[in-house]
Amino acid sequence: MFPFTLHTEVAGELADIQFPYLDDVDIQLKNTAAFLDACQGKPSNVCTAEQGAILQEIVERIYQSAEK
Amino acid sequence: MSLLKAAIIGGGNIADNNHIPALNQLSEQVELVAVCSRDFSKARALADKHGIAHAFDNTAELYSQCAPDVVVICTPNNLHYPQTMEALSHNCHVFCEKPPALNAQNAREMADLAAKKGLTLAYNLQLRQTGEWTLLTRCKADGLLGEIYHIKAHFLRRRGIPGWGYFTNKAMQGGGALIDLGVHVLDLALLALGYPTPDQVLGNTYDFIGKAGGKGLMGSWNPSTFEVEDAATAYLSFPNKASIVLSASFALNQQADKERNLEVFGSKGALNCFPLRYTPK
Repeated sequence: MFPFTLHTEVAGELADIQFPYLDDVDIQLKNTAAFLDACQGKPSNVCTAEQGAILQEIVERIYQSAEK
Repeated sequence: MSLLKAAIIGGGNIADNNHIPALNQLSEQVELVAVCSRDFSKARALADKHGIAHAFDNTAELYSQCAPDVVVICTPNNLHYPQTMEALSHNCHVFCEKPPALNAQNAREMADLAAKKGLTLAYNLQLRQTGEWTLLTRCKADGLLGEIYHIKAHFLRRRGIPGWGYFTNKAMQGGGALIDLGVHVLDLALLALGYPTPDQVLGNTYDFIGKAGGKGLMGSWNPSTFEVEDAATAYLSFPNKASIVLSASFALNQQADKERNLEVFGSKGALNCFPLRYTPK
């Protein structure tokens, strides 16, 4: 497996920087907490209703394109 | 802050394994008071298993007897729209499983009603909480990527047509691999670009393997009732010339059993977020 890698240029040379020690996260717990934060008016990175509407529109356009 | 009162609608795996345990762990903010499922015995069993007081087999009783502040919707995709609209009309905040709905019009109405009511409606796209995504947002904020102009987003299974649930039923799910899996990585790709709307969309869908049948790695499926796409690919182009290449599959003849990957290309650097660790319990 390849760990998370940043491909970039450092000091004039090409570099691949890896981050092999990222923590495991309980992503459901964190996402539910983010939703509850949003309900309470706190900053949150949960997917909003507006973003969901855009996402659904794009999914629909992909399906429509596929039918042509 | 008083405790929010929450109810779960839908008694399947995602409620049992994901949402209920998460809500129960957040007991300082929320009290899970009820489970509602079409099948009362299923609702009761789930409530008993997780120490939840009430079980219902219809939402009318749920709202009249429990008056929840928060509703979590974990039902098949075709019920997301009516159940979200009903919950919002009862002045509940809604946490809905993905995808938002079966079509764009419904998702738009859901967002509009939430805005009109001043309520939170959010979708459970939990890859946003992975360590990889968090690091990506920090790298972006630190200017390590420069201007992001191209993203490859994949959520691929070799033979992962689910052998349970309604995943191959088009009327209930609205589609297959794209609407079930692709939305997770499409969400991240859009988020990396600031959630713009593309001006050009080119897509293709396939059902060669789903309709032919074959060996399954996530249970077996019935090819004669397979109604959705087993794979989808798309190219999205945005007004600022940024682009996303998306692919999603339930079944694709590739080596890896599962592959979730986001490659984000910027003017100063690129990130290869492989593999995106998606580890529901």
